Amino acid sequence: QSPVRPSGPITITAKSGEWQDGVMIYSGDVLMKSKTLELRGARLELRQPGGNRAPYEITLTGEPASLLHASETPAELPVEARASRIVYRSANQDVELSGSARLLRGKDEINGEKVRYNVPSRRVQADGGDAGQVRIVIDVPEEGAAISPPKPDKSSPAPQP
Amino acid sequence: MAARLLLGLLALALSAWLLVGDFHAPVDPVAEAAQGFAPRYSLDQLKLLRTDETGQPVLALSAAHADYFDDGSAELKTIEARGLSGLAAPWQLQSPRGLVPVGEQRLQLQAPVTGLGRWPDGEPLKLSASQVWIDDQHKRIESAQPVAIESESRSATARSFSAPFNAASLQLNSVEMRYALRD
Repeated sequence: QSPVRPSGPITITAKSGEWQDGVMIYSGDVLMKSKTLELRGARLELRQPGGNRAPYEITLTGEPASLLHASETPAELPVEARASRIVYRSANQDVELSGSARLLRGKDEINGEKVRYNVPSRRVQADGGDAGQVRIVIDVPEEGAAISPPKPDKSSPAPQP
Repeated sequence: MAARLLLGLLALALSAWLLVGDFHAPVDPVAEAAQGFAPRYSLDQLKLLRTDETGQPVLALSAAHADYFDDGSAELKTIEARGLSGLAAPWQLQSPRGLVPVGEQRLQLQAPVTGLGRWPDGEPLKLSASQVWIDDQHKRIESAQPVAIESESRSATARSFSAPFNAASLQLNSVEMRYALRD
């Protein structure tokens, strides 16, 4: 089990929480914290279709809703993201940001209608949506500055900030 | 024969207070029950069953002792309330002492209030609070005081809570919920 994987206890605080039709709905200054993830927003819905021992799905909305994925090692940079809607599925640790999505890692920045981020691998995928626009800003080191060799890219050619 | 008649009268009086609450006494925040006045009626081993419009049992209430006062207030001792309707039934609340304020249709269970029940998804839970209202008029249990709820996969603290008798929903205010989830 990867240390980055935020399984294990999560804590949600909010002005109110209400259980309705199988969904726990939190509203007002919502903060969800797990070992490495922090989600903030106005409203959070937590679903566990498979019961209280099963993986969960969180839908967070806000103006904006935000995510902070802390770094686990000195080599890693924390990832910050904002969007009007953030869906997090604990089964595969995927985060889907939609609605003016913006993801920052150090000085690198990705903007798009939909950005997908996988927490354990810290891999990003961006989708321009109908507007067809993805904007990526990569902080290129100065000429002559030491460039650390890129990590081996094992999976699909997702943009590497 | 007279004893049975009196008992019937007492049960009727107490039920009338629980169900109808048609009293003319002014709403006095400090009920006679709380001031140590002598009761007008006393009942031992009280058992009440609240049913809905179709006659289905909704709430069962028992108390080892109940005193009923001239101002319409009442004091109950060693109370157990059991919710009997809805998917999350049965739930139960226990308290050493309860008070019905003047002119109210609510029973205030006093500390320590302990309870057993289930989250709407069925997971058993334990509840503890310093005060819980059983509101017969609105068919809700609620508290404006802090509450703690413990169960195997989640635990919560809240500044107040509210739930209908059938526990179909649960409202927690100023809530902190901890999920010990495993993916």
